[in-house]
This record gives sequence, C-alpha cells and structure tokens, in this order.
Amino acid sequence: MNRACAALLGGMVLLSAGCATTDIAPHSGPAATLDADERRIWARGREEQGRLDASQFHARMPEVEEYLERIVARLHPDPVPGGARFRVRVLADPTLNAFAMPDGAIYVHTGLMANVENEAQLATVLAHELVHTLHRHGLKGTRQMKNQTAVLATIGAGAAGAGLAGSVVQLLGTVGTLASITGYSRDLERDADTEGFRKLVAAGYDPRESPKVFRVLLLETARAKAKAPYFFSTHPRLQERIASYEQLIQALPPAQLTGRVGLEDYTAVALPVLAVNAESALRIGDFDAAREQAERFLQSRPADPQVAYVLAEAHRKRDAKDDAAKAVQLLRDLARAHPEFPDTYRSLGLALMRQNARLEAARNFHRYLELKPEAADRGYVLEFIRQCES
Amino acid sequence: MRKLIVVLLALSLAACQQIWQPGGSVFTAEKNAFSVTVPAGWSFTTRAVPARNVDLMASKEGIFLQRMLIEHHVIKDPLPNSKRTIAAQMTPFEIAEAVVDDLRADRATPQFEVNENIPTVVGGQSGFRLVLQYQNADNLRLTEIRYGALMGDKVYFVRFVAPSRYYFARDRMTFDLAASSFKLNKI
Repeated sequence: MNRACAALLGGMVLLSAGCATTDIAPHSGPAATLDADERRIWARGREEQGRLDASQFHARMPEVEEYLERIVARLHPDPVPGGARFRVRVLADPTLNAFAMPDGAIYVHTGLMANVENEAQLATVLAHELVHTLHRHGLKGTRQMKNQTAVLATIGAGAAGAGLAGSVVQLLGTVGTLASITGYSRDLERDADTEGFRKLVAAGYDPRESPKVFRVLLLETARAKAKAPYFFSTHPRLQERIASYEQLIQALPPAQLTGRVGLEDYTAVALPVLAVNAESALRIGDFDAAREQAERFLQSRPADPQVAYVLAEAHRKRDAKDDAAKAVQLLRDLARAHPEFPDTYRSLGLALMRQNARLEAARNFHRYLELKPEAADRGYVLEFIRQCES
Repeated sequence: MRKLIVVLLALSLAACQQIWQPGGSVFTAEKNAFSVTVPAGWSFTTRAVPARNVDLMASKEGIFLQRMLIEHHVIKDPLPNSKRTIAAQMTPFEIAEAVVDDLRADRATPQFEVNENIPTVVGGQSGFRLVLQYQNADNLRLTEIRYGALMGDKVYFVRFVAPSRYYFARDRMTFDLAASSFKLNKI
C-alpha cells in the first residue's frame, strides 16, 4: 500500500467515525431518551431561553401566552414525546418571526402576531413550528452540519491536529439553537409545512387561511423592506411557503376546505400585542408601523395613555409633513388627560422647540423635571430650557 | 520552492507581529481622522478587531476585563439593530436617542438600562455621553460609558466596557483621561 492509499484509507476511517446519522425518527413515547448531542442542543437551547425569558424582550403577557398554548394543545392534543414540553412565550420584537426550540419552547414575535389576521393563520405558523420540535429538526440540522465539518476536519486533521476539530465541535451545540431561530434547510422546512398542515386540518382550522398568512407577511416584508435573516422575513422563503401550502390545499377534498378561523378570539387577545409591538416598532425606527398599530389599538381603547404616547412619538420622530403639528396636538391632549405622565412634557417640549414655541417648550421641560427630577436625560433638558429662555 | 516558503513564512510573521502594541502614547488614526492617548500600561490594536467599524481597541488586562473602543458609524447606513439612520442635521440629543433605541433592540444585551444621557463635548464636537448597563452572553453585568459625536458623515463613538463589579470602577478614571484626550479632526 503506498502512502497516498494509506492517507485515503485513514481519511475514510476518520470520516466514517465523524459522521453521525441524520436519519432521525420523530420522538416516540414520552419516555424516549435523548442522544448525547441532542442533550447538548437542549441544554444550549435552555440557556438561551433563560436569557430571553429574563430579558426586556420577553413581553410578559400571560393571557396571550395561555391563548397561544391553547392553540398548540389543539394542534397537538397528544402527550408530547421525548420529554419535550410545549410552552409559548411572546417576544416584544416587531420583526416577523416565530421559532421553536428543540425542547418545545416556542417563541412568537409581537411583529408576527400583529400582522396575522386571525387564529387560523396564527395556528398555521404554530403548527409549522411545533413540527420542528416533534421531528427533531434541531438535531438533524446539527448532525448535517457536523457531517459537513467532519469532512473538513478529516482533511485538515493531519496538518492541524485536533485544534480546528475541537473548536468546531464546541460550536456544534449552538447550531441547533441558531437554526431554530433563523430557519432550517429546505427539506426540513418542507417537512414542517406538510406535517404542520396535516395538524392544522386535523385540529379543525380552515386550511384556506394557511397560505394567506404568508401573503400577509410578504406584503409587510415589502413595506418594511425587511432584510433580517429570519425565516418569515425573506422573500424566497415566504414564496416557497405560499407555494407549498397551496399545493397542500389542492390535494384536499373539497369537504375539508372549511373550518375554524377564530377571528373574534384572535382580535380580543391580540389587542394588547398591538400596543407592545407599536412600542417596539417605534424603538427600531419603524414609525409607520408604530403609528398604524397604535391607531388600531386606540380605536378599541382610546384612553390608553401609553399607546397614545407611542402614537405621538411616532409622529414627532417621523417628522414628515404635518407630523410636528399632529404630535403637539396629541401630546397636549395627553397632558390634559394624564397630567401625571412625565414623558409627555419632555416630548411636547421637544416638539414645541421644533416649532419655535420656545416659552411653552420651556414650561413643559420644567414640568418634566418636576415630575421626574432624577431623569437620565436631565442634563439635556436643562440645556434645552437654557436655550428656550435665553 | 524553498524561497517561496521562506517568503510566505516571513509575511506570516510580519502579519502576526505587533497586532497588539503598547499604549502610553498618542495614536493618530488613518488620514488623521482622530487622535487619542492610549493609557500607559494598556495595549491597543487596530487590526485584531472583527468588526469593520472598530478603529481602535485597547485593554489593560484583556478585553473581557476592560476595553476601550473607538468606533465609527457611517450615517447613511442603518444602525445595526434597527432600521434607524442618523441624519447630518440631527442634534446630539436626537442621535443619542437613536443610539439608545438601537442598543435597546440588541438581543445580545439583555437587561439593558440607561443610567445617564448627558450633553458633552466629544473630541471638540458637540456630542453626548451615555452610561449604560446590560448583561453579556455569560450573564455578566457590564457597564459601559459611550461618548458619541458627529463628524462629517460619521458618528464616532468612544466606549469603555467593563464588568460592573470591580473593573468598571477601578479603570474608569483611566478611561476618562483617555477619552478627554480624544480629538476629532476634519478630513
């Protein structure tokens, strides 16, 4: 055997040792055991969940989360296999995304909830996500990645020793978690579409709503010019989802083209989500979305001071034609209705300063500091007062 | 062939050396965009920095214990975590607001808080100073001082980041001195 043959054989042995099977069956039975790499993925996912749940992004809306968990229970009424447990958290994030961790934690962004139109559309997304957990897509994605890197590690093993391989293996635990957020391979997504659709129909939801959700999201993505690498916010993937669900609908008998839409339940539960999402949209500078969602919320609850403030701020910060005047009007109304709310006076002062109404601006800045003497931006406000009164 | 290997090795060594340089002197950026005195006893680098917008990174004992960063953001680009862009006519207060909103939208910094947001002069320009707190990926509480000022088509940031416990308080004075030496130049 010459040296080249020996190297080739050695490489193949290393490669076969490095490859792990990606032919993974769905979990069966509640007591199913996890493979060692799967346990690592779950552990990493739980670390991430701990951080998310404790962060300012967790919207902490128990009623909404319970509602979402009821939808999940309807979609998957059986005991959850493999020790997974489905629970849903809402993240205050205006981007269009939802993702499931390998252990069954499902996260839904307020941006997604604010843009779908009814419960059936929401159920379409949730059904798709819970299949990622049930079919162990996190593990499959990780092993696919591991096998690809095993090839690289084998090629480089002679020269680099274990250094590269070691660092690659350290990264692997994150792959399953990351893919759950940013999207899986095309095959796994199609699997989630197909099985999710089956669950949607079995749960009695109207299957005709399923492609609509992606059309709604496609429109919103175009409006917001979203470029984020999220599953629900990239055009090709949304187009694929629409085509995939339309094919699935065509395969159904006509008698099954009906079912629960859940408009009223969804509308009632989603209302507070609009408020949270309007505030999140304001924060990331999507003033049009902030304004639109705040207005939708205020149609039902016109007296809510927090959302009225978000609407005023969206106008003030957008600063397009007539926005300054609109912001001043809204903030004056708010100050009259809720004189104890300090931030109103700061924003009103800023809006009036822009209109050169300096004395009135100064009065509002003074009022702001009276109500919030320890304000983090006190230094600025004192400077604004000096400018207005000089 | 042997000559080629020697040349490649020499180039590799040249690339490796002096990634970190000793502080204690004035650093002047390319095209004289800014200058800053890097504290004595600290090391700094302009090359071992993964992000393109970081012009200088300095540390005394390692970047996880304390780091000073000088960064720039081109105003026509959206801020990294949001869609917001900064306009040349924005006041320092408006820029600070946009920066805070952008940082608040960063998933990598949970438990984000703004402790201070004040107007100040940065590198000879009207700017702002933020004092921020947040957690990192290891749930370690960090405190950051971030100065910012607009110069031409860029916002420059002078940042100091350290664990809230011990290191922030210990090295803050050293950073304040370095920050006060920071000068922005028209180019």
